[in-house]
Amino acid sequence: MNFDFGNLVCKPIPWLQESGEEDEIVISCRIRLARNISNVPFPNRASSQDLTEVVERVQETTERLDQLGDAIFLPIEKLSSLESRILVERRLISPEFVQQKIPRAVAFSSDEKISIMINEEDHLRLQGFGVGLSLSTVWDELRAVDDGFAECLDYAFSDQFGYLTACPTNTGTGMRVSAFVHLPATEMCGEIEKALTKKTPSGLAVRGFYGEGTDVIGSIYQISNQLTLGWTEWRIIEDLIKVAKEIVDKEDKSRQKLMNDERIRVEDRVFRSIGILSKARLLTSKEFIEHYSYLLLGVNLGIISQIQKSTLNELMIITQPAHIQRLYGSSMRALERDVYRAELVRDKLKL
Amino acid sequence: MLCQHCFKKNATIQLTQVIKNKKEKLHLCQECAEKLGVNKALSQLPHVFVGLVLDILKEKKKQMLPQNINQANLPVRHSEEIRCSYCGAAWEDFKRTGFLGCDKCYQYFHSQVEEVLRQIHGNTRHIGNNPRGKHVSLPEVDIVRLRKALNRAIRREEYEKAAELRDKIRELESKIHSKNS
Repeated sequence: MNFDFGNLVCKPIPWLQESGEEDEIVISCRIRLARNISNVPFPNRASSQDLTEVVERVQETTERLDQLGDAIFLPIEKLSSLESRILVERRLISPEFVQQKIPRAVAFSSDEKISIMINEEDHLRLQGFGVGLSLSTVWDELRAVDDGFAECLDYAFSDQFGYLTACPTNTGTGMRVSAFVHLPATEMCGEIEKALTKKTPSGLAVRGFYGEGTDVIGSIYQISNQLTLGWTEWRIIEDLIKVAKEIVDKEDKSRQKLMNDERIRVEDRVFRSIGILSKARLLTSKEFIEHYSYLLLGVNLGIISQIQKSTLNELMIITQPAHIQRLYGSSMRALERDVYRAELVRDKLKL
Repeated sequence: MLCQHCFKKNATIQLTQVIKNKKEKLHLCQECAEKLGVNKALSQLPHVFVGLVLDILKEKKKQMLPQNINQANLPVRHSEEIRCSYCGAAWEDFKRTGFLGCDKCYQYFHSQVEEVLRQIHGNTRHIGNNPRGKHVSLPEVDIVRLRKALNRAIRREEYEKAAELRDKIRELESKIHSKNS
């Protein structure tokens, strides 16, 4: 089956355009399950033939599962490097998955809410995505897919250790839950450290991606669980939701405080960002994220009304390097991408 | 700032994480970051802007640090010469790569694995979901699924696949038939 990447890169990630719990502060959430098939060595040790068989068995199962509908199934080695990077940018596969040189494939539902990496670090990595903090919905959908696979494949499982994974950091539930939170006001109030050092009962971690200096790029932080063994799946999810809500609550209060005490400072940042995004002729990835962050804040606070949140969500996806190159039809150097990125942003924002 | 690992070179990589109420900031040079096993790094940060972040990383030629699992601290037992009878992996391999070779390694290196799990999770017993009982391979159940797949294949006009599925269904049907008679 030929898959149309040209069509894929034009559109935003469908689920990101929905609305969900706490979606003014929580951008998205994800649950990942690591699974292996019993009596087949893990991908790091299996023969190429073993892994080809795994791909075939999972493909067959994927086609039978009602939970996945008409899923798209793509062997990675048949994709160009640009195509596989597009899948990375849509979070359907991990960056490492592209670099591996073993038989592997990805299957994903047409709404991109569920993706299955075959022969990543483990035989199967099932991922479910949702907007905002909609973790319970994501879990319901992902669990249904997991149950479907469990019926057809003999999962590697031990009564003592639970789901057996290649790396012991995933053993047990094999589950990694994460949420991306947008915390610009907490940062502006200088309270980020305090907000992030909350009680974390089942070993949660909060990470940001730092550029140069000490500010997290785009004020976006990831909350995720570290421990997978000795807790039920639902407990891990509940703990994460609890901590996320505390962080959201803090951000909410900081936003109100800023709007009451320093509205002009917030407006200044938001409008400066509009200025740059609507006029720039060269826009690097880093610069885009920074200004996207203030625009998102401005939209959520009602400071700007002429820009839709859905437009920002769309830009977040299609301004990524592989998307830009596929959209404009050729491979480019960073500088050319920055030119096209600036053009795309100006065009979509229509300011 | 100097690298906090070798205290010789300039730190170019910074990782901040909050785990169990403790905020840790680590500044490292490229070399030490690699030595500490950065190859797994990007997967530790499935960032919402993954494409843009990769772009920034590439431009700056920087890598992020993995979680604070220090390979050097994993227990060393005198089992270097012992290999898993199923996949042939040695405990040495795990110490080097951080990966076990197969599900049987969990039995084969039971005590070592148990100790590693205790160090990582503070726990050695799974209390979550169990896939057992969900694994059903009765031909009757398979037929239902195969029929659905067949319908889907026909809908997609994938006739070669449909023919394959049809043959599989026939094969299973004759199996059930011969079992019953």
